[in-house]
Amino acid sequence: MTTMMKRLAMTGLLAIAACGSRYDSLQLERVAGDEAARGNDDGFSVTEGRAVVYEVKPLANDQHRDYDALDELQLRTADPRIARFERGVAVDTWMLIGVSAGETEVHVEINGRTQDTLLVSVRPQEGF
Amino acid sequence: MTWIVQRLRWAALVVATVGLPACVGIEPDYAQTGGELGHGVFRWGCTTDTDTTCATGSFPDFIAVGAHFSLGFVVGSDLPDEVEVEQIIAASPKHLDGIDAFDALAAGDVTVVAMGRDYTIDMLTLSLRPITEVGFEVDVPKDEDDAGWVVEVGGTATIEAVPRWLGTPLSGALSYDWSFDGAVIDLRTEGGIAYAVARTEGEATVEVTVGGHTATMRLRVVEATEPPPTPDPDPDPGSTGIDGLAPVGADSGSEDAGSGSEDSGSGSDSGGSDDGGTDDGGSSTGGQR
Repeated sequence: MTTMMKRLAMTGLLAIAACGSRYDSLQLERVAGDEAARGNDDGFSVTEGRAVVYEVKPLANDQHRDYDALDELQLRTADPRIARFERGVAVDTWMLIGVSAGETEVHVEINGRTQDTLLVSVRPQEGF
Repeated sequence: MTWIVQRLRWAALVVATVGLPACVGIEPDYAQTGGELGHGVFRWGCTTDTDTTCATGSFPDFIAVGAHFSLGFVVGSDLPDEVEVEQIIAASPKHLDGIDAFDALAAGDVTVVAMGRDYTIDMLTLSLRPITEVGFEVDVPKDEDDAGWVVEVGGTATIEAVPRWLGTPLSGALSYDWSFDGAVIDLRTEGGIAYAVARTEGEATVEVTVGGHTATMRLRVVEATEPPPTPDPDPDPGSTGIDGLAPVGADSGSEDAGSGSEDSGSGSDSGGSDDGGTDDGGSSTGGQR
């Protein structure tokens, strides 16, 4: 009987885990920085040598099971020599830094799993 | 009872000597400006005496390409005490080389970031501009034809070289090479400032090269209208403020730093704030605190 109880408990835990939030997209709100920077579902662009700060929240495709503070978001660029994301001191804020002109990708990771990959474009400064 | 009074007196003394200055905000005049995120202030660091910003107390609007400078950051009171700045980095190594202390390498607008252990705290965008001309600010009168300056025998003209971008003064520590011709003056220099001591009547030309730009100015030494003061039989080396500086030899006094340099203008102006530059809005949004 004890074994049966354990199996039922394990099955319940697995079922709860399977019902976790499913990634849909990132919600972005620009806070400060490079006026020419852009960020949306298709990717990001920033000027070389400049930085822009966004408030970033992952959205689930099921409104009833949205992500919460326990879900850890990580934004990691493939080539930090072109662009970097750095976590901000304010909650949910991230700074995109345009290191040098070029293109790379950012991996959107939630709880250690890559959920999305977006293009990051760093444009050269004009007029200099 | 007496011991209570004594302790109260001691407490009052401690508050007066330690607490009061902190309360009324007595601190040095830093050239500082608020970060763009409002989490603290960036402070300009004077790396050498050749940086004219250090005397102004104002955070610079424009920094010369080729200049050296350092930055500090003070975390604002809106953040928890645990937040500490570890370093200040530049967004782009193409524009700024270094951490905390920087060399300006290329023209443009570049963001510097105050970093904590593994997070960003604040940022500031700096405007780096090339030197397009070098002007002079001189503390003696100009001559009649406005082509030079006049100093009396025995007097000293203080000449400040001002690197500019399209008329706007540029900040940061730079390397200055001074030279002069004519035997009528002696020249002693300290970074971007030269002290010309007038010896005998005549004309002299003073030249400075900075950031690949050379500028020339003319000094006319005239007879003193008042008799020079009686020489001090036991002169104090520090009394003039310039005696401790290295003299520049006439003509041969400086290295030739002018390969490829251009003459930025004999008869250059007396400086001031002729803001001929276009402000492209690249500076901080934070403002002075």
